Amino acid sequence: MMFEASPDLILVTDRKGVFLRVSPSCEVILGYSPGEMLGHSGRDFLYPADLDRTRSEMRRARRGRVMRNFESRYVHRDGRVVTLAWTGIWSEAEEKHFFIGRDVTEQRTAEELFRLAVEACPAGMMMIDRGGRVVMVNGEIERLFGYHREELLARPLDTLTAAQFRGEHAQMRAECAKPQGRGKSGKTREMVAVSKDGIEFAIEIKLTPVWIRDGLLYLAVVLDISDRKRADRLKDEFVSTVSHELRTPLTSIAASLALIKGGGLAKAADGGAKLVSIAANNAQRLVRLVNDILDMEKIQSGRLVFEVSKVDVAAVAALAIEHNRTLATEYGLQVRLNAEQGELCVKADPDRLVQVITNLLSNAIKFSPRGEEVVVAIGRRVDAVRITVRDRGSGIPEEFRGRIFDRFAQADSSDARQKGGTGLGLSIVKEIVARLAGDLGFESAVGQGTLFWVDLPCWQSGDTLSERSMEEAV
Amino acid sequence: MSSLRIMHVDDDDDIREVVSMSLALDPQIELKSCNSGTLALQEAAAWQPDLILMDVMMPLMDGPETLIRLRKQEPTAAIPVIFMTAKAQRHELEHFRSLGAAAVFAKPFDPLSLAESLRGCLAQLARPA
Repeated sequence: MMFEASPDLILVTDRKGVFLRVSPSCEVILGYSPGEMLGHSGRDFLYPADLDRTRSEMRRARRGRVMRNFESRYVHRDGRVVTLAWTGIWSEAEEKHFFIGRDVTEQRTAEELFRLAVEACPAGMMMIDRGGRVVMVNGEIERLFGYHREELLARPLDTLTAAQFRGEHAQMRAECAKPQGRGKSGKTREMVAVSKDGIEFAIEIKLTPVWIRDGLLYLAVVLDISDRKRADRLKDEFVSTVSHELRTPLTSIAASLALIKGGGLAKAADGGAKLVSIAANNAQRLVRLVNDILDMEKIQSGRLVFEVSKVDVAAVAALAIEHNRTLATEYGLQVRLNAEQGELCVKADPDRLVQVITNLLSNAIKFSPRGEEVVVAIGRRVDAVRITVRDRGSGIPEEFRGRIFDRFAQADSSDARQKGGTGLGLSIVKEIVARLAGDLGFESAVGQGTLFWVDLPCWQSGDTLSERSMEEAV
Repeated sequence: MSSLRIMHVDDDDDIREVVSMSLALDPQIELKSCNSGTLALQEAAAWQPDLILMDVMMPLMDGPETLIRLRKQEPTAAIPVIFMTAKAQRHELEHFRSLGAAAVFAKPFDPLSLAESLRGCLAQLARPA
């Protein structure tokens, strides 16, 4: 009766594994009827890779060892692979094997899926015992810490964190294990971890208690937050710098107006006029700064639409020179345009190209000695047009050259501020040139001057306006 | 009110100008302005001000570096330094205070009460702990 009704597969085989009796459940488990299986042996149904292992296990059974939960895979009639967990004995008296096989396919598939999910998880996962020792890790933990799995198992978790955080894990575990904390995730904490090669990196770790039959384990989910920390730091520095740059002219404006309003003008006869002039100049500086910051932000976030068309570089350069005419007069110098003969056209947004040349030109004017000449030259390269702006100023100090295109970089801030610089002009130039698929650089000799050059791709006859405009507008 | 010698150090011409006009409201204050930390080190040793009011962000030698050097040279080692800075986020102010500044004033400042604030700060320093 039991033989007939059993959901498990019951088999009786001879010494060679030939089926002598097969329970009807074989129809469900392997897709064959008992009649089809009788007279065949296990090897006719076994998954080929498991054949030798299964034969060895049967030999051991014949030597008197009871087979318990021995798993081997079989091929179902429909081609599926089925995993059976066998319990069996060998009867020397009857010279027969008696087996009961349970279908554990679903369980094994679920386990395999779970294992694959844990391994594929982009977050580091590890299980920790009550004593803080690692009992399981996934691949991401190996990658993060640089250890092989075997090196991590049984290792105290504390050895993976920077010295100042050792001991915090025990505290986290204690909080997690509190009766009221059962089943709840602990707090997420930020720590500094240490990889196998001693490199420290920021992590976020969250412990969750996992109650199993033998007691309590903790699941630690570990995220590498180095990039986030770096981005936060850059953002903080930027906010701090912008705040500083805005407050500086604001200080002069606010103080000047307060002195005027409070009647506290200096004893000098021109005190009032001086204060008004300071307020006005710094208000202008503030406007330039805000405009530059907004331009920079729009360019970097990709929100600035570039209307790319065929641009005659000489015409754009002449326009930029015109924009700087008053400044050049104020600084007492000449600006000369020196363009090669013939058509010099590039793929660019004309307004942005004017901005590039204007920024380079106004720098050149401000840092040139009175009476000198600034030259804007345009020439043809192989497949680009080169625009250069040359001044005869004091040159760029060696130590400043590496960060000249950084935001708010000024070699000598007092000098630059007095000249109305925001520290953003060259970074804007760099961003625009990059968006126009161009190249940018400079040559400078202390005491002799500086030459900035910009190469922009030539306008080709096959170029279309719309495609490029669309691409840039995205 | 007692006479007071104050040295102001800032690389921004306009801020030096408005500080100068602001402190001129107190006739007992004698002011010397410097546009760099390097100049301040020389001038402070010779002029011996009662107080140095100094910007933080200056090129070549910034405020904190100037403070360290002032402390290292005997004639200026004990002169109180007050930072006046546009780096005015809370953690920044705390940091500048931790460098040994007697006080940290945020920019923008009130020019009508600057002299009084500086005097108040000096009075506090003079009080026995």
